[in-house]
Amino acid sequence: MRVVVAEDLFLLREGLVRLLKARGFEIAAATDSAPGLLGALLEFRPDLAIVDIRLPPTHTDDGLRAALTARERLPGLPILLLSQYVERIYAEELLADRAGGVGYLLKDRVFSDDQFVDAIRTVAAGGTVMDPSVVTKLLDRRGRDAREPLARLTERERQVLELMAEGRSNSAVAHRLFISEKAVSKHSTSIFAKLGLAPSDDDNRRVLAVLAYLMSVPRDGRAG
Amino acid sequence: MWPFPVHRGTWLLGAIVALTAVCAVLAFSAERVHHRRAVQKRRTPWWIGWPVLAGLAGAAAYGSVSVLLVAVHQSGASSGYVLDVPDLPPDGVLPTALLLAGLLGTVPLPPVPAHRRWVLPAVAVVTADLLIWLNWATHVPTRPVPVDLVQGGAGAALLAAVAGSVLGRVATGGQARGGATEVVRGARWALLLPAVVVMVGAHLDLGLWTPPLHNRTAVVATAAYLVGLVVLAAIVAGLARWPRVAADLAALGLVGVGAYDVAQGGFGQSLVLVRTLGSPRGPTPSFPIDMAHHMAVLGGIYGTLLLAMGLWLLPLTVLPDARRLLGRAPDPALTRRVRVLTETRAEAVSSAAAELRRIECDLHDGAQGRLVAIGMNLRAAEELILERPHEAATLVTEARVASAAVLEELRALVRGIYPPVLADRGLAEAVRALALDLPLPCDVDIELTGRLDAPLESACYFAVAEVATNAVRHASAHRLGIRLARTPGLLRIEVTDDGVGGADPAGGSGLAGVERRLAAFDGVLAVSSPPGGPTIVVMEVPCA
Repeated sequence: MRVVVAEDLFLLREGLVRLLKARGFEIAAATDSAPGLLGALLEFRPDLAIVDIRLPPTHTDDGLRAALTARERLPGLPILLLSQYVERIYAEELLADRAGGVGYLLKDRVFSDDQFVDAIRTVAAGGTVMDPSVVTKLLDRRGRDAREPLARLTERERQVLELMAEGRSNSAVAHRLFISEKAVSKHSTSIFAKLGLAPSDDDNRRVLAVLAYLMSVPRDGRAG
Repeated sequence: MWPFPVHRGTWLLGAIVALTAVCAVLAFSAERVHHRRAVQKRRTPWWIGWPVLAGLAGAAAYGSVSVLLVAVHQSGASSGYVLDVPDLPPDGVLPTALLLAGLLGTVPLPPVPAHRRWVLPAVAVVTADLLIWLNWATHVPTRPVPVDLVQGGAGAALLAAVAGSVLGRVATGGQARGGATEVVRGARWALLLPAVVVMVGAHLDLGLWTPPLHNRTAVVATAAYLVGLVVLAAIVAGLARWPRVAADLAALGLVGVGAYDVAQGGFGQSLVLVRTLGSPRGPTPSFPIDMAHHMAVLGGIYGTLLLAMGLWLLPLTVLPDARRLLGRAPDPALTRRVRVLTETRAEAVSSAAAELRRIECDLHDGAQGRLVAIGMNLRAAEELILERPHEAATLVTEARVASAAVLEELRALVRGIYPPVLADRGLAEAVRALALDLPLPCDVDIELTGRLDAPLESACYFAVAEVATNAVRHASAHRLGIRLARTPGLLRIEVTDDGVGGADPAGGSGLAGVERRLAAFDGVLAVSSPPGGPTIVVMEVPCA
């Protein structure tokens, strides 16, 4: 699998490259700026781009902008954003085209290389990966009001929903919660019924539906 | 009770003049209180009051002398107007009527809200016209309506309208900023201005106001009337535009007129200056000599009053301005500005220092300590790695967990210093992100394009964050609203909540801190938070 890495911190970039090479990925290009990233993406058309949001020249959200531009020109180009901060506003922009193949993780997730490599493979396969901190924040925000449908979920269903929103497949959720895959599927049907979402067998579409639900404004305007 | 037989019409006029004098005294004391309070609070006083009051005092004094002269020397006279005596031509009716009308609006009427500032001019016009016609009807009911009365009535309406619009706008500054009381004061003084202007015109014998029709053609008379009106309107506008200069001139004028009249009284002869200077406009031959003496004595008395008033005004008006002009005293506006800048700079420096101190503490107690622990763990793992690899692995895991915690702490710290979205996207997006993270539904309405200066963005962001956090913590609100709008030169931020109210900047909440921080950018904060809510916090910051 060919990967383009864009990260302006030398140590982190080299670390990423070393980690990816050790796991059998091919590094098409490693760049330290947004224009370099855009050029590399359009030239090499990699299977995945790993992008730091904050890049030169302006050191603001250049990385995100370059990645979104490249994705407009190469629809479906899988992008995994890394950042020191997870901002919901950026997550929404990334998810806006509903096409999947996107991920958004805190940089420290790189520490856990199995999970990180899983995330890379999910995104490259067209899936969606969201950092647990974003999901926790969204659930907290929506889950406070007793009238919210979210409040009617059981504890187990809530755990399943959380993992699902992070982008994990049924089998990954099952593995993580030490339950059978069949039980996960039962929980997810129940969750979708309680939230009033259309059921779907496609993992990725399900993730997107859950994320869209969590990010939407509460319907009656009273729920926190 | 009165030693002279008095014509009944004179009583009416006497009452009018006496009321004028009483109102003048009341207005003087009110204006002095206002002036002192303004100086104490280091605000700019409303200068327009002094020239108007000076005119008022002059009118009252002039009128009372005339009434006394009429009473003494022409009692029982039945020809023409009651005021139709050599010393007070028919023009005198109009300023007296206008003065009374203006005073009715100035002293006894209750305050009116700014948006109804036309109420007072309307009262003035109606009262002035009523008085003019009443005077005519009481004394000369059989004569046909004279043209100059019609002119006088229409002119009163026009002048009051001009003064009301000019002064009202000056007082409100074109928009609803500034104190409502100032607006009311402005509108009230506007009522008196035309009267004073007419009065001064009559004193100078300009005759602009009511041209004698009998010896001129109608065209000439109308032209003269219109020119006079324009001149008077221009004087009103000028007074409103340069109230401070007008106040100085008024004080000097009072001193001058007072000194002239005192000299006249002192010499016991009328119009001493006219005689000295050889002016052709002396007392007419029909002027009885005892009347001239009375006039001189009375003139001396009211001259003393005017002189005292003028001298009393000098230290309030002319002297400070003269000192400033001569460079002995700094401009009060500049002084105020320097004081504000000194205060806000001190606040800014000390709050920046406090912020640095907080960051230093956080780094010292948090990240630094943890990094030391991580280093120690790794050092221990280094020693153990060959002999007891399992223990080493545990230590390394601990170090990794600790490094994640350090990152988390640093993240929170950076967010408190300068939120990343604010740095990346600017104020509008940062406030939207802030609203998304609040635990309450929040309506966001932002009309703001482009970026502001970074320090301003940061101050505004933290102001919004602080006010919104207050609402979440203390107001038991269900819903928040945040509005940002940028008009040329001004950024307006409004944060509303439907909570319990009772927020008070003086009550030790974060609002006082927000106010101080905004002050460094010449920003202001206003809170409306009645018990039971809702709470509205409005912040306005000038921006390029």
